[in-house]
Amino acid sequence: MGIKKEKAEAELATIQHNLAVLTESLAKLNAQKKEKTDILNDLEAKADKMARRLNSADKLITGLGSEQKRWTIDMKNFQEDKIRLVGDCLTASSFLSYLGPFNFTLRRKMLFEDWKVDLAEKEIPSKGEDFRLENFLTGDVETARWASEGLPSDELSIQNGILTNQSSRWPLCIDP
Amino acid sequence: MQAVTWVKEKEKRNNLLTMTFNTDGFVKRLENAIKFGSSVLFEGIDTELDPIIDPVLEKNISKEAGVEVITLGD
Repeated sequence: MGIKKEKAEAELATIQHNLAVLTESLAKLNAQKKEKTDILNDLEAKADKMARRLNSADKLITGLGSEQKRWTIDMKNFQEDKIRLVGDCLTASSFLSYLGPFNFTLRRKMLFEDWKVDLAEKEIPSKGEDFRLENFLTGDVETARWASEGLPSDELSIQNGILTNQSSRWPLCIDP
Repeated sequence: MQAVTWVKEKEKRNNLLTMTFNTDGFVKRLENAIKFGSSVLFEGIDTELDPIIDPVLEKNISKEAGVEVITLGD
């Protein structure tokens, strides 16, 4: 009886010991599970974020496709403009140097008849008919600023604005 | 008066000084404008320009010891 009890107690002790060990290991495993779940959540969140980024990047690339087309066209135009720059610069600098004293009709005649023909005869590349002083020697931003400062927006006034600003000599304005 | 209005408005940010050849002490004022980099507008000029401002119109600028110098009058 005594022996049986002892044996049973010993077994109980072993079982309790085992139970303790198992509880400990369970706790450990639970902690590990929590850790892994956290990592999983984190990775899922990251995967989500990456997917969103991939999506946006994709949209961006598609969106930029049209830009690329536009830029390719621009580049082609610029390359053509570059060749015509010789004649255009010559026309623009001649305008700044010589056309100040003349009225609009004479300026126009010299720019688009005399000089244009001359450039064509000498085979100097230029934009010819499409050449615009107001694009070459100034731009929309500047002409808009001039307009806000009180300069009329007609072609003659803009030419005069160009002469006043860009000419290397001092401007003499006859302004009745 | 379009041009004058525009020039005056445009050069406001450069501290435009407006004067005529009859303004008292215009040479002194021109001199100051040159020193401080202001714009100058001569209004109501006749067919003759006062030759005293010729060095400015002709841009007779020389360099002395790295500094740009212009001689105005005497």
